[in-house]
Amino acid sequence: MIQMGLNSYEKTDVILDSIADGVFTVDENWRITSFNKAAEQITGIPRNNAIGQTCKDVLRANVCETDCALRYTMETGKPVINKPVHIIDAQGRRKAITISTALLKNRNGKTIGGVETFRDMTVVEELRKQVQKQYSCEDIISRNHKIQELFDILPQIAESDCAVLIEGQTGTGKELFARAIHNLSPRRKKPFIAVNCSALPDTLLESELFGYRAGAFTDAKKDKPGRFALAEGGTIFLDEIGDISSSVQVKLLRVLQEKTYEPVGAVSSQKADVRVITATNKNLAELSEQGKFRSDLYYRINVVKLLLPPLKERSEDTPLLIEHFINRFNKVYNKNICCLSDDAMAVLLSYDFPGNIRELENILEHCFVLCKGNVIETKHLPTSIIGKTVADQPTDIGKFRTLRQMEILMIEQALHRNKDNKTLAAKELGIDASTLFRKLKSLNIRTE
Amino acid sequence: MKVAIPVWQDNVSSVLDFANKLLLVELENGVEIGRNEIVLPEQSGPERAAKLRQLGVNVIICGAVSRPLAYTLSSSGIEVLPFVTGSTEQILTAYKTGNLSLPEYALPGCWEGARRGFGRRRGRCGRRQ
Repeated sequence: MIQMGLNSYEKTDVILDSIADGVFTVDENWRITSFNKAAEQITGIPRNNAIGQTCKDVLRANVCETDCALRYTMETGKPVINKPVHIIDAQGRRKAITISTALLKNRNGKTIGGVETFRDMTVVEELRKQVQKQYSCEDIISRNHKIQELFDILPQIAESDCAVLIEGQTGTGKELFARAIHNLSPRRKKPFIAVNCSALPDTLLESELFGYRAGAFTDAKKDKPGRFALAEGGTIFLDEIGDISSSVQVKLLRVLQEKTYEPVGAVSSQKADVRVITATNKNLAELSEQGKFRSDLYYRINVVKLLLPPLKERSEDTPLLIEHFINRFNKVYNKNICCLSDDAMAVLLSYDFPGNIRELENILEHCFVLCKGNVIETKHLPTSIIGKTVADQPTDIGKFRTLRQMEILMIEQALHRNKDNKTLAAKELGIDASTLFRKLKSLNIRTE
Repeated sequence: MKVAIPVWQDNVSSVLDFANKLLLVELENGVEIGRNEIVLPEQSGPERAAKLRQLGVNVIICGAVSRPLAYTLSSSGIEVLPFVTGSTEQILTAYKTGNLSLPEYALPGCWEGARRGFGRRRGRCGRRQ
């Protein structure tokens, strides 16, 4: 309620603060003159810090320095409405927002600045991504050196148009990498079609991949395009390629060799301009040696091989992924969970994750369903993982013969548990932070 | 050593993730021995990190930065000194003299601990040349 006795500026502030959209105004020098409560929440920057700063230093949008909407409005007098942009908030999170701009004029009609309103679209963006599965490199979260090495070569691989084989255990993000390659490639504007080869019986797989002509079999009343036809000009991702039968292998080999295929029941060949990315959780080289997978097809699909490490080999990523999934589920479930308790975090950090990132995601979703407060506790974790953690298994003392090895192990585990926060890790270990820094150096333990 | 600063006009660009120009300064014992500017295309975080690694950057001084990009860079051995604002020359001088942590160079709003930098401790940067 607006109180009587407030001056017009105070009344404006009260009104602006009651709006759910972020609003700020700038003077002619792009300095922020007012900043409402929703703007504080969306950007994470308190009003006191924002006032007087240039708007680009506060909003931090991808368009600020190249295609500023407010500059356009100030120069042309035309408003911008609901332009989608991305910002980096004060917590270092990338957020999708839409911005609208208008001129700010005084009583005499003279332009004295501009006003920008913006709306947080992160939930919509997150849901859109989930529905459309439009993931990019941005969605692959890792600080692991093996993944970094893959990122180094990903643009060249994407550019090259060659066949790519992605090997990795289930849940390691094979499809995410395939989509990232497609989105970086010149084919990015064309379709990306994913097919799980093990989900379809052999006979169906052939007609699903290559399509069929009317009359090819009973009930084939009209032509049906296959996945290769749907992916024309784009990329086809064949997951679980190790599970396809030898007859489909032969047909796939032909597509890769001759860039042509025949739909079931067709009398002529059809051209295929499709990039093929395959993935498997099996060792295709071994299957090929055993004669279970055609070696000529193996060599065709294995022009470039990406090997994705399992989550247990990139445990430094677990806290990052946990934070990522908490942020995502907070939006999806409209909750405000901040973190995991130390105990729950310790359980997850010492768990082996045979189902890799997908399993971690499912575990956290399970926690979100059960957790009513702001912190996920051990009791919210699935009972199936408690008791299966590495910490619960007897430690092979024989592996750690020296005090130095034990020190390295304990320090590394403490750092993992505390997301590399050395002060907290030192506190947990019962040593001074400076002692920990000295030990990190002398024991040659690499941290962030 | 190679110091990189994302730039916009003559200032430090507001966001490393979105910057489209990079100033590369080669320092030897704190003395500048060369510099050049390169144009950055629109890139995802991992691509940008890969590009900086490929350029042989040792230290990056920047405005805001997303956490994933900051972590990726620091785990690749690149020292990240984020959340600074000011003219490129001012910031470069402040870095060489170890004054980068002065409040006048602070960009408003950053997550806890970020201004201390990633990789090494900010206070020592200038003096270590």
